[in-house]
Amino acid sequence: MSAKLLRKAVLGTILIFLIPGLILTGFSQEKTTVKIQAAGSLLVPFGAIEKAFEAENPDIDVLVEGHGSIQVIRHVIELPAFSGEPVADIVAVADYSLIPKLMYETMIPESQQPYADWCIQFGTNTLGLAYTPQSKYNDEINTDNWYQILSRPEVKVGISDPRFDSCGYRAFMALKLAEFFYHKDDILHSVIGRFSYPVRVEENEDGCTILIPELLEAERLAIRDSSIKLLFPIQSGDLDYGFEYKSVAEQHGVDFLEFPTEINLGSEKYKEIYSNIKVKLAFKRFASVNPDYDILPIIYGITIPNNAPHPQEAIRLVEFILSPHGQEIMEDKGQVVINPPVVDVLDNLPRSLADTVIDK
Amino acid sequence: MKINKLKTVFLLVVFVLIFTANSVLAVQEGVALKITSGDTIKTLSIEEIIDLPALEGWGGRMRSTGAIEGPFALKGVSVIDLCDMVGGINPDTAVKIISRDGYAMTFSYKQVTENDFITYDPVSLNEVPHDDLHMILAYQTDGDEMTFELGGPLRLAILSEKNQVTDGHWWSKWVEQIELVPAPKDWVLQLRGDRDEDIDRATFESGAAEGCHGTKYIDDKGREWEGIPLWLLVGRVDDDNPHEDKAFNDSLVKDGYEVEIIAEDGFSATLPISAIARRNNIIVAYKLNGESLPEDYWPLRLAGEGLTGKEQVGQIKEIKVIFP
Repeated sequence: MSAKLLRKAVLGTILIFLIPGLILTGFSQEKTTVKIQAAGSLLVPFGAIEKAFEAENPDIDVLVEGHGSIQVIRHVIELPAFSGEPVADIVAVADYSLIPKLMYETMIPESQQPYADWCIQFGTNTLGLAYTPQSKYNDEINTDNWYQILSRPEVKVGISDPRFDSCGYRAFMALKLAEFFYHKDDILHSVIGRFSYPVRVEENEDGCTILIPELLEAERLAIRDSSIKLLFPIQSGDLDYGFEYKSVAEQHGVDFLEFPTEINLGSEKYKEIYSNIKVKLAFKRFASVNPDYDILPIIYGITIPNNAPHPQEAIRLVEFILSPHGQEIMEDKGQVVINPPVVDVLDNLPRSLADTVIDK
Repeated sequence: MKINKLKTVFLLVVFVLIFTANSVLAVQEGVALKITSGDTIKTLSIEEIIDLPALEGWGGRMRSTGAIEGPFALKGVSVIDLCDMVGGINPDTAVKIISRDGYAMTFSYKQVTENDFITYDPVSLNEVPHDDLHMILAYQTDGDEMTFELGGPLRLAILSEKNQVTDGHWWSKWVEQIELVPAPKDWVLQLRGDRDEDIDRATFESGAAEGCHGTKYIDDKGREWEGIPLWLLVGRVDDDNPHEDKAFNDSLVKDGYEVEIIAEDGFSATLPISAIARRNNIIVAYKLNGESLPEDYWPLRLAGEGLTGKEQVGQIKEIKVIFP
């Protein structure tokens, strides 16, 4: 056998083993699924993040699942143990305070570690009214008269259900804040109208508590279970206005009237004023969640649960979300970002994320 | 000897206790659903539920993000039928559905009996009007048993006649308890006359308390009605003195005027003031035999001595004083 023939035979043998090897390892490599449980208002920006991240990280498949923020956390701390559903790798909610409130104090049964021990504040939002050019008085409405227009009997107003949706209880808070801001004492009730089971306001020395009944049947107000669902009747003309987050309105292409800074819940500056108002729900949907909410500025929080199945991949994805590129993607989708993001307990944060945030 | 007897008795007691505990546990394990209304409790096994008259149809759900699941072919038992097993519901009760994981959802009387849900077209996602809806506890989906993974063995579902979908948060998984709870619904009685006044439920009930204006009337069937005399309510709007001394203006009675009692559906009866004035046995009743009025009369009904059937207006919404 000549040297040339021998060389060909060796090369052929290598190729015979190499090609199937490549097919088995490189081309059909099984991807790691990183599951994010996210607030519904993050679905659009996180959809864009998913696309960009997967393009840069072909070994990872990102799966985004959306719920109301409370339900998001419940899908981590309660339901996997009960129903066997897989635990999420990342949790992102529209009210960052829910993470310490519900995850820091609940222990993972197997390890007796808390479900989470750090939270990064990464985004914010503002509250206002979604509407369209068909909405009654759309050419007249502004930041001085919106509550008067909403109170007109012929104007159809929608709100998301405060029992299920953070945008709903925040809308009630904003209406009460508006009474202080505009110095009118009947804005809340003139906008929401009468309920079969009354919504009451308890005034006290420190401020007031809005009491939402267990059953919500409004005579004039249209109630939908999430703020996203208000957009369908607004777009079809069945409703004139709906209380909405700015990012969601922009993502769905409807007009948006942002409330003044003092009442739109987007500013840390007015935290002191907000702290005088609470919303208390008579409706206890989850055995584990106390349904009392303080007014806090709208700040989104993100964490990786301590029992995340794929912590390293989750860290890579969080790093991407918080990176300048990730923030740009979210901003393109109408999500206002906090730059730089802020962490509450720096010592507990995975080291590779420490450079992307500042300590609170 | 005595010690041996004591030992035997002790062992027997332990055996009986273990046997009883096991039996209780065995019974508990067989219970798929517990229905309660006050002290009345009914428990049902899954087999007993399947033996009840079933409802079948299509239903789907829309998640809070707008994603659609279904519609599915569902089979189950009507929630109204289940509530009837512990005395049924009335406008002042709500139905609380409790799941095994602690999730609880409360439905109003209107939702349970009058289909007060938003329905969506599963394709266009637009809100669409609906015909009859039925709230069921479903034990079968697409011809198969409702498994634990799907939220079974009993999952709340809303059936529609046109394959419409409803909001997903109503579709509680792993239902194991139905509780009928008091849920006093607010209402308003409109008084119209020389002045106008709207009286809400809390104000009316406080006025109808014993020691205030609360008055009882027993009809010829022995039924006890409880409420406020009509003439006192008329006195609030017959002139500009609503509630001080001499709120009821006797001098106007001499001139004569009429009082119209108007029901929610527009039906009305008109009585001359001479037939009402100072008569404590003609009352606007809010209770019958100590309970809220039944649906046909709720929230208020005129009851009293000498009234004809047509004059006993139910579901009162407004009382109007008509001066000549």
